[in-house]
Amino acid sequence: MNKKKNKFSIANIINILILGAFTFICVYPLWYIFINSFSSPQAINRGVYFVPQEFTLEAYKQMIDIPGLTSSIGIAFARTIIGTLLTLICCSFTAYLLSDRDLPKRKLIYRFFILTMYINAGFIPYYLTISAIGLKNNFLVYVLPAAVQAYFIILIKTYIESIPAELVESAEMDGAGLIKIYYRIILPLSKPILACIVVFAAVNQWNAWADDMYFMQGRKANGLHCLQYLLYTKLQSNVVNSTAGAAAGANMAVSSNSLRMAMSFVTVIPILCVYPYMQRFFTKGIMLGAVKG
Amino acid sequence: MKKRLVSKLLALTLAVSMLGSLAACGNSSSSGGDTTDKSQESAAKEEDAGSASEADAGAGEEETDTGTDTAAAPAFEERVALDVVAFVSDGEADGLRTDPVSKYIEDSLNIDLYLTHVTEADWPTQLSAMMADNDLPDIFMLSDPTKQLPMLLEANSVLNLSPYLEQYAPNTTSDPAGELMIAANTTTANSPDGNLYLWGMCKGSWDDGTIPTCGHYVRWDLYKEAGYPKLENFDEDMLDVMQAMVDLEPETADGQKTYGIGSWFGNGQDWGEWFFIYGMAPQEGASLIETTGLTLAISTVDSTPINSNQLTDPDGYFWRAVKFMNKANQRGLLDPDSFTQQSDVYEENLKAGKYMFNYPGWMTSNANAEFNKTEGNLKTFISIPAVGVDSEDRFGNMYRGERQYVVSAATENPERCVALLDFVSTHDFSRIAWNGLEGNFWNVEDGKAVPTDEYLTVTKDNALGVETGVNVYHHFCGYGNGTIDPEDGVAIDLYQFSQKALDTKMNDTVKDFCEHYGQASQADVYRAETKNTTAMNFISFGEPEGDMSSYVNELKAYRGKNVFNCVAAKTDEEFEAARDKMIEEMKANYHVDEIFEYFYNEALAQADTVEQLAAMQNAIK
Amino acid sequence: MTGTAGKRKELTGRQKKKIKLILLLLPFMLLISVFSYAPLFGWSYAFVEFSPGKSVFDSDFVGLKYFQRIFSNSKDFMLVMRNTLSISFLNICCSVLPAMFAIAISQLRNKRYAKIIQTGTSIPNFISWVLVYSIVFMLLSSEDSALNIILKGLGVITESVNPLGNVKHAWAMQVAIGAWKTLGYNAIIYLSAISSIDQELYQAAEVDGANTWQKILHITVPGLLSTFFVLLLLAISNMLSNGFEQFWLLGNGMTWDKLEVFDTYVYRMGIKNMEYSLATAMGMFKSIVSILLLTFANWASKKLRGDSIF
Repeated sequence: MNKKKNKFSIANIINILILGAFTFICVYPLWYIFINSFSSPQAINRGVYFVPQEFTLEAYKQMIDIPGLTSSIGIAFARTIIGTLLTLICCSFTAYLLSDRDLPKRKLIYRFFILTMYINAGFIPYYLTISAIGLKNNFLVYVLPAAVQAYFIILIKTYIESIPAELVESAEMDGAGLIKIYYRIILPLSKPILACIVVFAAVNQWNAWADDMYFMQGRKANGLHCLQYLLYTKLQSNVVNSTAGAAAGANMAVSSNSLRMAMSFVTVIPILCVYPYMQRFFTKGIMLGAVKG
Repeated sequence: MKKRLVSKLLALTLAVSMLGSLAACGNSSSSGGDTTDKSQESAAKEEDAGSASEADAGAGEEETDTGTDTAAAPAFEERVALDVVAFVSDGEADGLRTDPVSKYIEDSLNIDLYLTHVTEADWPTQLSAMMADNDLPDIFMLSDPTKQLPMLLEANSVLNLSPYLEQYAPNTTSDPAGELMIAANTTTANSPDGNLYLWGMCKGSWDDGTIPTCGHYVRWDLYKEAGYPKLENFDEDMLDVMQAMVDLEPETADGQKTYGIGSWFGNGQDWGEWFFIYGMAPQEGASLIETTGLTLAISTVDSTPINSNQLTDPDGYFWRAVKFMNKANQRGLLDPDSFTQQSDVYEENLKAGKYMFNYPGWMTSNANAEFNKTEGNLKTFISIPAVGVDSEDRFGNMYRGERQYVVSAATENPERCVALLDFVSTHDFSRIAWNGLEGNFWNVEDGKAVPTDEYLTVTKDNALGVETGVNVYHHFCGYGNGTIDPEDGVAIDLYQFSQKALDTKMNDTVKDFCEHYGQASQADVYRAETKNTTAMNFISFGEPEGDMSSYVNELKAYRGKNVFNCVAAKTDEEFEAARDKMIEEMKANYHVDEIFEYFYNEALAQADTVEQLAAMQNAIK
Repeated sequence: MTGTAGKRKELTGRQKKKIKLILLLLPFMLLISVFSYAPLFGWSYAFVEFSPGKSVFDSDFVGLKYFQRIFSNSKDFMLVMRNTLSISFLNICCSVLPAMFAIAISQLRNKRYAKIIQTGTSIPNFISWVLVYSIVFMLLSSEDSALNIILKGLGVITESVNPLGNVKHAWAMQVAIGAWKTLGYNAIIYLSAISSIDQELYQAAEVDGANTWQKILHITVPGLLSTFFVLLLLAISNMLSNGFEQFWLLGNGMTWDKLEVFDTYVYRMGIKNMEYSLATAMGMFKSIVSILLLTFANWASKKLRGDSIF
């Protein structure tokens, strides 16, 4: 018995070490980004690995100077909160309805949702559709298209189906309606997967900029741009470049590596602040017995 | 209007129905099948709406056309708003700007100017979608006029500017360079019916000849120190010169190893090939044309196409440039990071002094500026005159304008749009765009514009732009910064090219360069050393017909995937084998000869146009 | 008598529920139709000479011309397919990693340590590809990168290594970077699945004297299987899309031959050249292949596991 325990503690130590090492190679880049954001571009080019070199706040100063920054932060938070809630409610409720075996043509309807993951009409028709329903230059364009997503529905539905059917059945016996079962039983029991969805959806919303770029145009979009888009416009100058652009790039300021690092650091921080709070929902096991009792 | 109302209602219903479902009292009565029908219906409706508004746009155009005939007042009494999408500085948020130059435009033309800043990267997709949606700004930039103009014309969404010119563009029509731009933009390649659709901005040149966009820049201080080693032909001698310079300075000030040359192949196809396209041809008086897949080169001396397929001729400009890089690589002169680094890292390396030799001019000036931060600096990149040939493309000549703008056919104020384009196209406005309003950073002394001392010490950044308007419109104005204003004979950009600015930049290295060639100024050196220094390329290609454009695309993709392997070859034999294999493959599977033939003939067919434009250009001189 | 009446009542009750279910589902179906199905009218662009701003009905009908063009340059097409499928296959092989990772984390006794590991490993997912490129270049690939300095210091190598420019290992390199970036983040689905496993099962097993391995093998793994298979099926059907940004940004002159995948190909040939008809045809092709793959994988799952997933 004792021997056995020892063996497992060795396995445990190995486990801890491997996980620790992997964690290091995941966390170090963030440290790298952090120290580089405070270093001069020249120092970055030589390599900055442990602490900031040629300390400078230039990158952060440049970032604060981006026009429209304050309102964009507000918009970014608004879209993240509203968008995530909307996605969470729509997807979980849809998944719940789809998991009910009484739903007629259940498979067909489920496939109707799943198919949307694979069909992509292309950008122009999508743009025309968004424009036709009046979502251009409208805050709703951030949250509505993301409200119902097949991938999330699949994840939640798979999870709901692992909940013992008796629980739902007994509630039905007690005369609980669909809605009541949804928020009395399904929601509390699916907390772990819902926490996942919240993280996924919130990160997607927080990091999104493409919808902003394409659907917020001209003077009507004033004040509706979100943070990531503003940062993106600063970042991309080096990413996709064309010869003509470069030729004319004479005298155009090029964003430095440190600016990119600073931006990226600033946008990751809010995620890392909220993330641990969500964690306990998907790591803490749920005692079905407790619910049953 | 109605369309917008309908769409708003639709959005509202959608939102309400969704909220309804959230509150869980959805009472809709159609079934699943109906939903799909509906969506199809709405799709069909939308297309109808699209074509209807197209028709509207067409009608609008006719109305405004007749309107012009009766309108007489050149001064505008009513204040109107214009939406302009342009390559302008992004120092302020999109919309109305607060800088003095913006105010100056607005007050002069009695408009509210709503500016949206775009870059080349994302604008094409956005523009296509807006085109399809028929919701275009009043004035906007075309990122690829060759492809976009035909599309806009097909959709009837671009305004014919010709009827407005006489009345609303007096400055441009009376300016020889403006006339040349109009003539060039009404040739068959740029306009199917001889009317003016494209409005060229940034005419003239980007520099005064000392920092051409693509040049052969060497660290003159080291070249001097090495005792001016023999430099009679580029392909071989330049490598030896690089070697000599590296030997003199094997490490940068902060201990990094130096190399003769670097590149940004990490950017991959197109942009990563910049060195092959611009590293050899312009410096020898030719221009490799990208739209032809680099098969065709045109002489910048007399605008004639060169009768040799550049992609299959091992001695052509393209392959010589590749071979040069390969040789540098074999001799260890090419920074090994070149294969994976991107252009931003390249530029930082250049600034750090890691390279002895460089092609792109705008990066060179940034690097020199960086060097100059050190007191008593002698480190300087200077572009050398043409090596072993008698012509080069040095004094740029953007006769058509470097950037093309169009006016939407649906605009409510076509006169104002043309007036705005005309207003910003003058030499006077260009000087304001580059230097701010007169009296702030520059004054007129003895009829010549002179920068203040303070101006030459400022850093041109976004903050300065917001405060003074400097470099906000410098890509949305008539002339590039190196163009000479005919009125006072001074270059547009006083910050870089006024005599005062040149004097402050003149360090011992530059002086030595001039003395070495026995001339008073850098520009004189180039004029004296090389016979032809001004680009005269008047050929432009429209969108090719039939399968040709897809052939070119496929050729480009193949070229970009394979050419870097040639650079990496370890020996001359390996290089030649890789090169010959590529040539063979392009001949067998990528229609390379057919493409060349097509464009070569197209170019020959433009002989008359070229003659006419060249005559106009010579008249300007 | 009363029995049949009761039954009838029950039936109508059930029917009522059915109608209610459908009605409740409708708004969501409508929503997803608007954003996913309505734009499908755009597939018509693949069959005409499309030009933005011009009605499809006014455009010239070209039939399957653009579909033929996808395959016309068979050499390029085969190359792209080889790269796409190989990378996808390697990625699918790696798809078991997040599950293993989640199990490993769940075995940690110290919950705070588990939390740190889990948060830490999700970080790469939040770093944009642009920066991933910079970091990989600076830390691994450049001549004086951290990796080269260390390896040279240890005397392992004398010539600098350049993992980004290595053609031979280009696929492995990209798959590894992809795994590094997504592993921690993707593990959270499995973590939530693990936490859904009834703790009583573990307690009962402990009473029966099961050791850790046995508990993992007989309780945790079966508890993750349904999630794993769902994700596997999705991955299989998504074989043609391995993402655009990663390959666009991390590919370079040396490795393009290995890293040109379907998504970058569509961008390069269709969108960048403004050939919208071609891009649409390529998109349709991808959709059709994906749906076929999904159908097949679903069928296979039914045959092999006796249970279809979709």
